[in-house]
Amino acid sequence: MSLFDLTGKVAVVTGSSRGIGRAIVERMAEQGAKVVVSSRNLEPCQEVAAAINQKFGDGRALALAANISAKEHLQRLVDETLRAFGRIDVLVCNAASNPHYGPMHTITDDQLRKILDNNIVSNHWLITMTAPQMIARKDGAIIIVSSIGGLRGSPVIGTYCISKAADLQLARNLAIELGPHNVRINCIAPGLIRTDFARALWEDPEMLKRRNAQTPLGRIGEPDEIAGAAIMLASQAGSYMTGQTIVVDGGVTIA
Amino acid sequence: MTAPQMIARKDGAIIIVSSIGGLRGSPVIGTYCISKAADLQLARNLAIELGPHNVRINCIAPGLIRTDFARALWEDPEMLKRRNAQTPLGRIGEPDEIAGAAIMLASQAGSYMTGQTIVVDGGVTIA
Repeated sequence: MSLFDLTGKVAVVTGSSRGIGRAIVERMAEQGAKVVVSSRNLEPCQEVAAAINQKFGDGRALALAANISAKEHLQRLVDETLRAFGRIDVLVCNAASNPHYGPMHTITDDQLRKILDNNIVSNHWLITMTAPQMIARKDGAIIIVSSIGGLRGSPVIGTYCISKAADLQLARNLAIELGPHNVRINCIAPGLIRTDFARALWEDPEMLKRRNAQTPLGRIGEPDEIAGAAIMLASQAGSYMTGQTIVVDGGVTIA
Repeated sequence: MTAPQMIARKDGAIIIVSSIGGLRGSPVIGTYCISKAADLQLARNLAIELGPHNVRINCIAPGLIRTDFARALWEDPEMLKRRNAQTPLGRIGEPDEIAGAAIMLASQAGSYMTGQTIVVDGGVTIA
């Protein structure tokens, strides 16, 4: 059996109607998992789920809407998944917010709280809701999609970066708490990836050219290039990894 | 010796098996740890040199794994018990638990990773 096989496993991926989340949920289905496609709006999730069911067989994907800022939505997401699939083996906390662009002194309190709430507190809530049944089974993998923004300073997306650094710390803390129960938790820190979420950073040709010149691999990443790390962490391949961060950035942070 | 034909093909993956020894101090395997830290730096340097040719280079830093090479560190039951108590996953690793990271880095799954280190240690370095 392949180290990366996910047959018999159930994976929940937030923010999976597009971008990195979508690539992860599709590749997990490809590895045999039953998957839950989730984001704020149900329709795009249903499209992604329908495509997965068409490709891999009925009943492989379920669409469930959830606004990560609402604690009761997250509880419903967990409850509905358990009702439909009976378990959650893999949780990918991918959905995040970034409503502000500019120096820290220009961020409003509402924007500040939204970023900290959606990107840190919601992850904590969702993990707390999901972990007990993983602990009961003595098996589970939690993956938080962080960012290289959490590894270095930024004069324009500062609060987002604070929240992404917080993710890395959350993983380290929970690795110690959950480790004795064989529940592993790690982060992926993507660099600049061609997604709608990051459009402002790659759409302008001049900005992109400058960015590529600073990147050893000379280009930005594609969403599918984050999926491999997620599969590794979710499957038997990642059985001895916990508390860590896999940086997937074309070499930008080490150049 | 190996890189030129990778560069010619504009594709290749190099993986150096380093160690968590390269991430922290040791009073008993000090020079080994220096060499393992050097591996991490080698990967960072070469990632910049080889990146433009789409040749990727990364490290894996295993923790304590049940191998002959590391026998002295896990064979003694008392020593092992103490080590396990410091490890979130509560045990040492098996060789097969390093293979997954290597496959990931070697294959299309690792196509956007370079210059990095994947630590596979049951949580010992973050505890």
